[in-house]
Parts: sequence; C-alpha cells; structure tokens
Amino acid sequence: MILASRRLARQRHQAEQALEKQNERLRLLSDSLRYLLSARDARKVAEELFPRVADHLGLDTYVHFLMDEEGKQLKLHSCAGLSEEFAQSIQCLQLGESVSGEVARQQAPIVIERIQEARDVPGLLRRSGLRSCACNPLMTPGRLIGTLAFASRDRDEFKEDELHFIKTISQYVSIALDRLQTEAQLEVSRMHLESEVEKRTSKLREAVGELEHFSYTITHDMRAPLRSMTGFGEILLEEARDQLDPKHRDYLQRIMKSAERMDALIRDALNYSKIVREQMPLSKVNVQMLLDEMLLTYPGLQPPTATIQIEGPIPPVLGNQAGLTQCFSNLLNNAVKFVRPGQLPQVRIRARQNDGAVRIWVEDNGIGIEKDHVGRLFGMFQRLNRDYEGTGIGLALVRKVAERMGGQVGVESEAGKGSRFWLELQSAEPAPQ
Amino acid sequence: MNPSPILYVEDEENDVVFMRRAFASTGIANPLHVARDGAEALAYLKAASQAGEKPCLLLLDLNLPLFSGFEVLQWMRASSEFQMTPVCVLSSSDQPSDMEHAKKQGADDYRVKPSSPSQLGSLLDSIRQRWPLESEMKGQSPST
Repeated sequence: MILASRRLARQRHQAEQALEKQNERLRLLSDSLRYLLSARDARKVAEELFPRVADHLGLDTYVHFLMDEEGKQLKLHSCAGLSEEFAQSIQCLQLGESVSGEVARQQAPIVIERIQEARDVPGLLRRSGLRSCACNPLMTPGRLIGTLAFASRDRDEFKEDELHFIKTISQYVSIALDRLQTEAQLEVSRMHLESEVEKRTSKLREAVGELEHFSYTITHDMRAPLRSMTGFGEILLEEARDQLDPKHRDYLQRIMKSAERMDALIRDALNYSKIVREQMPLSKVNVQMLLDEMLLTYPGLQPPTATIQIEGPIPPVLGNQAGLTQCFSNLLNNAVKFVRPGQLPQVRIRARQNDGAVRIWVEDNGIGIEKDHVGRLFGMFQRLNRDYEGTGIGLALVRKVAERMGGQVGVESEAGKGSRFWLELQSAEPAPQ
Repeated sequence: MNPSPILYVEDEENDVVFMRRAFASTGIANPLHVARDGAEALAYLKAASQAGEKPCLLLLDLNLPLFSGFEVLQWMRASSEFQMTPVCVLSSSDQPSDMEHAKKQGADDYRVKPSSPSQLGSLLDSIRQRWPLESEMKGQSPST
C-alpha cells in the first residue's frame, strides 16, 4: 500500500517534471520565434539564441556555419564548447568535408551517436572529443544558407523529441537568416541604385545646362541680324522714301514686319524657357501697387491708346513679383490689342476674394473669342486670329507662370462681346472666419 | 581743346553703323572710336594712355572675339589708369546673371541693346544725362 502510493507519487512527480520541461520548450520555441521575427543582426541571433537552446537540451556544444557568397565553402560563423585550436581548424570547410560539410552537400540532417565508438566517423569529428552530434542544414526552398549543429561531450544519444526540437529551431533560424540576407542585399541594391541615380542626374543636369547655354546663345545671336534688318529698313524708308514707289515701300515694310515678328518670337521663346527653368519663390505681392506702376510705365496701356480702369481694391496675393508682372503684361497687352480697328480699347480690372483665393479679372471690350476655340486658347503656339500680330506664346506663358505660382488662369468669352480673362492665386491674407 | 573720344567696343558691323548714325542725330561731338574685338580695345587703351588721350567713356559689348567684354572690364579695373573710366555695357543679353557679373567686374551701367536701332537715340540721351558729353553746339566754341 505504502509502496504503491510512493510509486504513484514518484510517477506524478515525473509527469510534472516532464510537463514542466515541455512547457519550458514551448516557451523557448515561442520566444525564439518572436526573437527571430524581429532580429536585425545574424551574429546576435547566434550569440543569444543558440546558447539558450543548448542549455535547454543539456548540450555543451554548438557549431554554426554559413555558406560563402559563391556557394562553394562553409565559413564558421559562431561556435561554443570547442577548444580554440579545434575551432581554428574548422574556420573553412569544403562541401562534403566532415559532418557539417556533408550536411551541406546532401542538404539533409545527419545525426551521429556514440562518436568515439562508432566506425566510419570522420577523423576530424572524432578528434573533437564529442560523443554525439545532430547537424541540420539551414535552408529555404532551393537555397542553402549554412548549417547548425548541436553536440555533447558527455551524452551518447539524443531523444526523438530533442532531435525534432533541434530541427524546428533550425527551420526558424533558416527563415530569419534568409530574411536578414535578403534585406542586406536589398540595402546594397538600394545604395547602388541611389548612387547610380545621383550620378545620372548630375550628368543629365550638366547636359541640360549645356543645352540651355547653347540654345540661349544661338537665339541670342539670332537677334543681331534681325536688328540689322529692321535698322536698315528704317534707314532706307527714311532716306529713300521718295525714290520708292508704294509697292516697293510695302515690300520693305513687310520685310521689317517679318523681322520684328521673328524677334518677338525669339524673345517670347527665351522668356518661356526662362520661366520653365528658373526658380520662382513665392511671397506676398501687392497687386494693386504692381498694376498701378505698370499702367504708369507702359505708354501702350495709357490714354489715348487705351483706357484701363482698376476697380480696387485688389487684395494682395501669394505670388512672384516678376512672374505676376509677366502675366499682367501679357493679359493687358492682349486686352488692348484684340479690338476692332478704330475702336478704343477699354479694360476693367477687378478682384474677388473667396475661400483663401483671389481671382483677378481683366475684362475688355475686344473682339472676343468663339466658344469653340476657348479651350485651345492657352496652348503653345495657338493663334486664333490671323488679322492680329502675335507669336502664340503669350497666353501659354501666362498659364505656365500661373501654374508655377500654384494658381490658375481661365477665360469667359463670346465672339463680338469682349473677353473676361481671370487669374486666380492664393490670397496673402488669412481667410475671414 | 578737342572733346575726349568715346570708345565703342562692338564686333557687329551693322550695330556700328547704327551707332554712328545715332551719334550724328543726337549731336554728340565726342569722336567715336570703334574697336572690333577685345584685343583691339586693349591695344587702343594702351596706346591712348601713352598719347595722353584717354577716352571719357566706354560703350562695351560683352560677347566679343579674342577677349570678352568681361575681360576688357577686368583689365581696366586692375589698371591704375583706367580704374575710374566710366564703362557702360551695351549688350543684347538681358540675363540677370550677365548684368550681375558685369556690375561685379566694375561696369558703371548696363543697357540692353534696343531691338530697333531707331531707339538708340533715346538710349544715348539717357546716357548723356548720366555722363555729360560734348554736344556739337558746345564743341564749336572752344572751352577755356
């Protein structure tokens, strides 16, 4: 009776111990998994995880190899339990050499028990003084990463569940190392790509700079002969007016007009390319003052050529002084240009503030635009009326500048009823609450 | 005493023709000397300084053969004799970078060449307001 109850107590104690061991193993597995999932450094994985696994299994030795980059040799990555001299002798293993080399070659686990008594054991392994060893390949499908062996100097055998545990840990480590290596490769690729992009961008910048300089010089040089054509035309018209009959005077005037048009084209093209490439810092611009000054400066915008009325106040906007001057200059010159012959251009400028934006209207009494053509108006080289001089760049330039200032342009018009162009920009004043 | 010469440094032959006409029409009495490139300008200045006939004003193009307008400016500002001679750059470039560079090298003024030569007259008038030049009327009665 007493014997039976002692046996029962012993059995229960053993069962409790086994359960405790099992729990500990499960904890170790889940800890390992969490650790491996967040690991950032392969060496740390080895240093922190492998001793814990060996300790849990009551083993004194582990040996961890990684494949070299060419996939030809195993390099010792970390180990414990081996003499320094022995560790030195296994820094590098060929495929098939000793146990780890053979595991790498076969890409399959090898377990050797009773090493000191067994036959056909590699000499190197016997000299290590180990008694049992379980070595697993570290691999993902199709790729060998390395090997991981756990071994003992005083135990001759492994239990089945221990071997299973070692195999599971090896699989976890494989996945983590694969991820770390892939990340490292990605980082190298990223750095390479970045430096490549930088190199090419700087080359491109250089090429664009050269091209800009070239196109600037060539267009600049093209203006000199045009200046001569206009100039000599003027001289001829002045000095030989009486010797030329009306037809030849007309020819001469056509030559001069063409030269002037060519010059205007070049000037507008230069302006456009300048707007496209130059910086356009934004700041608060007093539009009212800018417009007042413009009307004073340009004789073409004053009576008796035209009457332009500013129906103020025009609120300040967030823009670029030079860009805005360019926009209003083009809009106002258009407004006074496109009128019926003999008609006095009358232009009204007014503004409306709405939702943090200021829309400025330039309203004329000109020939207007047919509804079908309104959509094409801001396109490059669009000239809608051949009776009026123009390069077809002016409004494209206005749109470009407006966009670069974070604004918009538009028009409302009908043929024969004048046009209402608008330019909308961010207000420089906070929106009223 | 004859009025001091004005040196016009310009490689564009036609621009020289227009400038001579504008000089005549505005009645500037100072003789106009023309140098057709940077090297000719430097040679003229060296010779003029030896002869004691320094120009009272330079009208200087920038884009020139041999030595550019910038180099002519640099040489003048480094020499003790022409350090103070007024220089007005007359270029077809309206690039702010060129304007800034010219001012840095010591140009006193920078004018963009008018697209029509008929506007040269008013350009000369405004230059005259800054640097008093001899007019033909005045040139006829010798100064004391």
